[in-house]
Amino acid sequence: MGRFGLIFFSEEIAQLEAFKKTLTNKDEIAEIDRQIAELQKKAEENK
Amino acid sequence: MLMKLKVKFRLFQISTYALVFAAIILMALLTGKYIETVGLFISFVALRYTFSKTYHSNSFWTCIAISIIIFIIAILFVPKINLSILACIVFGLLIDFIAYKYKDYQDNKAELKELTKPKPFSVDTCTENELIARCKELRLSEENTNLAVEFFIKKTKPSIIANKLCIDEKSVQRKKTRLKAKLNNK
Repeated sequence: MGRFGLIFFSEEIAQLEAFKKTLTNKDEIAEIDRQIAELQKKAEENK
Repeated sequence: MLMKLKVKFRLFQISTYALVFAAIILMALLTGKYIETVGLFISFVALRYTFSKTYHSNSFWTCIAISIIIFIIAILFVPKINLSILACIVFGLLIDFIAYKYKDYQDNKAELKELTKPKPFSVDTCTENELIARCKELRLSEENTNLAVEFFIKKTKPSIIANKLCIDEKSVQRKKTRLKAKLNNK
């Protein structure tokens, strides 16, 4: 996936972080945190 | 991700992209540079992946604002297509290059900060002079300073020190452990 993946992941993570701030439901926030952690892991694997 | 949450997120993404597109389209309408705007946008998106990284602000909304401002400026200054066909592609590439260089600068700055961070004192990695200075800082006696040098710099065997001081080896080991803890303590 290389460069496309790295840039895609960093953008997706930034968007998820911003989206998280609009949420109030704890379960939804936890789910977003889980998604972010998963993407960060994938980004590290792709480096 | 839960379906409902996924839909909410996608709507959030679409609304932020729509904001950026609205600004770009407005600028194109105001300047009359329709083809140039399309060329600029396509080259910006396509060429950004030729670079290994790109700049992102810590704040998502700052990023959106910066993107809008950069596109407005780029559309304002990109030459009209009747003057240059390739100018919009060059402009797109320039934006990507600047974003890459700025990200690279940020990464190098962070790495330098990490490398020049003062390291905590450790008897395992210090030099003799550093150890003596640390002993002076802690106001250790001359005897304890010499012992510290024997233990941690010269790595003298506990049995030899025990003979010198006429005490048993266990006492020497205890002294070593206590000295190490005291010297390494922040």
